[in-house]
Amino acid sequence: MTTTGSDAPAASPLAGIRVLEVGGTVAVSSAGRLLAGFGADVIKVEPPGGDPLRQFGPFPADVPDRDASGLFLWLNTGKRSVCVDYTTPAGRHVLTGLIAQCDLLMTGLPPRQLADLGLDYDPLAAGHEGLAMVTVTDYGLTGPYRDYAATALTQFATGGQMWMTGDPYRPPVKNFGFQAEHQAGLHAFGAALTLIYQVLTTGRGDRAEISVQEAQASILEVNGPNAFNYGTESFRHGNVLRATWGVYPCADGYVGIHVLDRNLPQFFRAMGREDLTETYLNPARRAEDNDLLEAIIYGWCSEHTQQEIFAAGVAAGAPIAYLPRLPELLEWPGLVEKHFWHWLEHAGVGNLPFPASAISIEGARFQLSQAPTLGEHSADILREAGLSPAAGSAEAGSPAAGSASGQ
Amino acid sequence: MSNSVDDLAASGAALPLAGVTVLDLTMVWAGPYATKLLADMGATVIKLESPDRIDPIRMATIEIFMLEAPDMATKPYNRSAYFNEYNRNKLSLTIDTRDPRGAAALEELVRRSDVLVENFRPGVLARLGLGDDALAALNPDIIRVSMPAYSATGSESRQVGYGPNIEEMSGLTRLNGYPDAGPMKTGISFADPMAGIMAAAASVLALIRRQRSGIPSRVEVSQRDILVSFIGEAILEWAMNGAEPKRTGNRSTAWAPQGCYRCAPLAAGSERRLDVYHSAGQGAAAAERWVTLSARTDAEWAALCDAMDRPELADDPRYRTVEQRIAAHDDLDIIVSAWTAELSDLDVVTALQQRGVPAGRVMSCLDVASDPHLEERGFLETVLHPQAGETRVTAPVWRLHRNPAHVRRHAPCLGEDNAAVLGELLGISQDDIAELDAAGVTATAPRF
Repeated sequence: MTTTGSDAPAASPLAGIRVLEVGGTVAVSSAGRLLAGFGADVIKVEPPGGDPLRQFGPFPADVPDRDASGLFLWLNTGKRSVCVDYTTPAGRHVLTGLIAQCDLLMTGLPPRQLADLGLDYDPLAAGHEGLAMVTVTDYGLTGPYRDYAATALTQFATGGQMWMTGDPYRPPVKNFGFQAEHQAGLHAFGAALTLIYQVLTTGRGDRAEISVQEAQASILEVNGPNAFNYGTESFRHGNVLRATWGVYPCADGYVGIHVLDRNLPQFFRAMGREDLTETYLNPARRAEDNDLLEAIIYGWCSEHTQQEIFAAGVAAGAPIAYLPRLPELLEWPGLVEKHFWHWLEHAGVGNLPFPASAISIEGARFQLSQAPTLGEHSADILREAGLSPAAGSAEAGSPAAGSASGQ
Repeated sequence: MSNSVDDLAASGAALPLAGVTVLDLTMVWAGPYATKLLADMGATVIKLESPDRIDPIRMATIEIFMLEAPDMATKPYNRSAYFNEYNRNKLSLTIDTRDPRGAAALEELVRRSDVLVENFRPGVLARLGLGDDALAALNPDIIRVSMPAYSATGSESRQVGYGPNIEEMSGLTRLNGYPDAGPMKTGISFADPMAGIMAAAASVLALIRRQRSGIPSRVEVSQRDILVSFIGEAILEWAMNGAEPKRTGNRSTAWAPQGCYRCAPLAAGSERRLDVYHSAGQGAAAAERWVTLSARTDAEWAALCDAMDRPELADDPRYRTVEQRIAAHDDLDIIVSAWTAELSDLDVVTALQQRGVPAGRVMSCLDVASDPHLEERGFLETVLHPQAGETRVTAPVWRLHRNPAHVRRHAPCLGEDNAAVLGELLGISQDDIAELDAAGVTATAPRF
């Protein structure tokens, strides 16, 4: 790990750090996106058919196109792509050569495939003491479920969060998209940085193993610790846990009212019902009248728009939100002000918005460029690595069987 | 006699963040989860509380949830399973910083810290005398990590919100939910732990930046912005095609069948005790069992039919292609439900996984606590707490290979490390520490 210039790490904290991503998943791709944004050189190793995420939409006009997958484009800004058929001996040679020259190896491959490819940490780190490695798998590298097949639905189900999501009289319900993997992706990002820091300070690398299941199961709010220690079970509550904690329909959409005891005066002020404050500061009275208070709140919400209710909350200092539509997010003043959206032109697709990082560091920047097409940088990457193109880099071919967990 | 600061540091000496000192001004969940991750990786985390403003999660104990008058003599603030999960591996200093002697100790702590993490509303840190200029004067190398709900500056700095508010404002909640109904909030306060992970990562990113450039960082982690980045495919669908995705709930737009199906309930007599949020009438609900499964390909559909002992369905012309199965999804749900309803969730999962079909039971919190896979992996560790007794807490979720991290210490009792932090870390004499305690500047019990 070297710096590329005297002031480079101030603006780009990870400048000069080379990251290899093998086995595309939402988790690994999203961690790599963040590393790339803060200056790392992130190389995505794709099989001849392309990263499995390229098969997921949305696509322009709903026509599948591996260079225009919305999911792939979003998660892979700022990276380079090399196409390697690592199922062949020549491809394995290329992969090994690339690993030998990287600082961080991130894998999203299932455990069995990691073993088949020889991607075990100890042999890889022999002679490469400073190698950092992060594996993200559905259930971890060990244990009875190690080789279980998974999709975004089954991932979310086995982490404990789905059990608590949904209406009490209907089945548990999955969150939108790939929320289990996104959680694991943040962990992969944090663990990768922690290992990079260890290498910088001690010269020693290590491997961090992230299980998508454990990423979720370790954050079951109060319910997990209570179950682990008191043996009590939790259940799902739907949208309204109690009168002052819920999602309510309003005149033109939905609002979120999530008020703790200390916010009650501000909340009733937002409603224009200061008269309720004294009565309902009493928690026992609030519990007794919960249904009545819900009815009052339903009534208030039904007579106002989400913007009116949200604005009343901001003016009163009460924690009230609303549920914006997607186009509103793109124009949201708070996001526009801080230049959260970066618009990038994609050939044949158009001008599309991509997010900066939720982390902002004074004096540093988050870099974004278009996600690579399949194998776009193969020649450059192999030349830099001193590897012969004939030795196993692959031409983009037909899609391989996907190993990604779909929705 | 050994002291807790050095003991804790020694137990984490081989971990990646050994030698890093974190001053933790956070409370509730998002912030403490961030510093929990840092503590798990070997950082020395000093959790600062005040005798009249303790972390409210300390009082989130079973007896207080039940609205029984807590007996403060039993020190419930040291026994909360909720607090003790997210604050293990940390040290507790409880000191009144409105007293000049307490304020002086806080300043000294700032001088000795590498990272300060806070999750106050925007502006509060400055009112505590720790604004940017004051911090830089005390410690020019300190990294400051703030975790506003939305933004610390600009038009959003006055917007306040808790985890669910943030999830809603990110756009995620509107996309969640059953296909035939309105939005559905996530069952946990999803934004909080996501902010925690990101703030931990941001702290380390700033440590890397300081290590490589010598420059300390002022870092802001916007909790809402994290969740916006989790719905990218929806935003790009809007940008590409001008359409907002419809809620799909448990179904897939790419294959079928996929869903969440009811299994045989727990046997009579083995129902579980629901937590205090629920009335006794909901007891039967805790016996519900559900399984999820996905048949992504024709081959997986055939394997599902085989598992159901309905091989004829694999050849049924009504269900031959994925398009047909998507169109007939309601019928397939009836067929699959009829099979799962007679079996335990574990039996369904085993039958399908043996055939390579993705399946997983919908695991409750008690399932997580007793799952054989998680148990074999050591997901929970037991640590002896001086007042709560044996407590079960989650193992560090970043599992290191060469130097595995573990829970090295119980979550501290309120002010448990006052003397050690003030004496060993700040060099205050034993006499002065005793005087601070006698004067009520430090405390080991809350003042309400």
